[in-house]
Amino acid sequence: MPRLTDQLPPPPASLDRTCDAELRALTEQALRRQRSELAQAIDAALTHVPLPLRGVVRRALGA
Amino acid sequence: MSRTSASRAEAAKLGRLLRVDSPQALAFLLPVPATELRAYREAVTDLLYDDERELLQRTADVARLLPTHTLARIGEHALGPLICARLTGMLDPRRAVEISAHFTVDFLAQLAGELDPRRAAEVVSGIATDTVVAVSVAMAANGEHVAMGRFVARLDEAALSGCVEALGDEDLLRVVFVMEGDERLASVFEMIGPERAKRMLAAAQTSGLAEEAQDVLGRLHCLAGEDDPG
Repeated sequence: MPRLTDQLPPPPASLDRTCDAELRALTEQALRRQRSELAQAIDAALTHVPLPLRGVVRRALGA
Repeated sequence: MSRTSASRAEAAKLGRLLRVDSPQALAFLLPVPATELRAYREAVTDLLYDDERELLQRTADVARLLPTHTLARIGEHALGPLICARLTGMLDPRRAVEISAHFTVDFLAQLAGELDPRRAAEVVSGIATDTVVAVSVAMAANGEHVAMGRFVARLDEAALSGCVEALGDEDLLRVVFVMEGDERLASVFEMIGPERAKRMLAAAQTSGLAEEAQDVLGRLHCLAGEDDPG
């Protein structure tokens, strides 16, 4: 699996080098937050699925 | 748009995408040309939308098994606005519109704040006009002017006109400052009308929005083929 930092787009060419790291950190933080929210959301969603369908949904999600 | 204003508008859009609350936190971006900031923002949008795509697609596929009211309950009470926004463009548009009809206006406003309307154009155009207007008012109350600016080019005339009528002058100015695509700017100002436009731009001088007003005026003059008065 590629490292998360390798997935970030290159910073704007005119951006001061000292600011590159700051922008990359903010972007990485947004990506990590989204992944964490998604993982929590899928877990929480399963509890709202009607019981007879929960197994099917869980298998379909691979959760 | 002046170079500084364009960069400020782009920095605000990037800040919204990265969920950076304070504009000061991105002040280091202001010397960067707006075109570069826009390219970076679009690359980050793609990154965020394409991340975990397989899991999101499986989630969207599973949604076919459940009735729309159940999906709306799951969306609003478990998935949350960010994940629902990512899923919106993966669902059948008609089904997404049906699900949205079960959401509260407050939740739709939060979801719209996270949505890239380019990826859900059919869904956006399928939402009832009165809902669009109610959502726009709720978004303005949440301070989501940057996100609102993304929708201006995607709304039909009736929805846009309803929003222009329902929103306050200050909110409107904040939205048109950051709105995507100046081709809609002239029609927005036609809807606003000359009297209200004059009042809105004059009030901006005392409400801390002088730069926004100056910028919008400049863009209007450019569209009319006149020299920017600023």
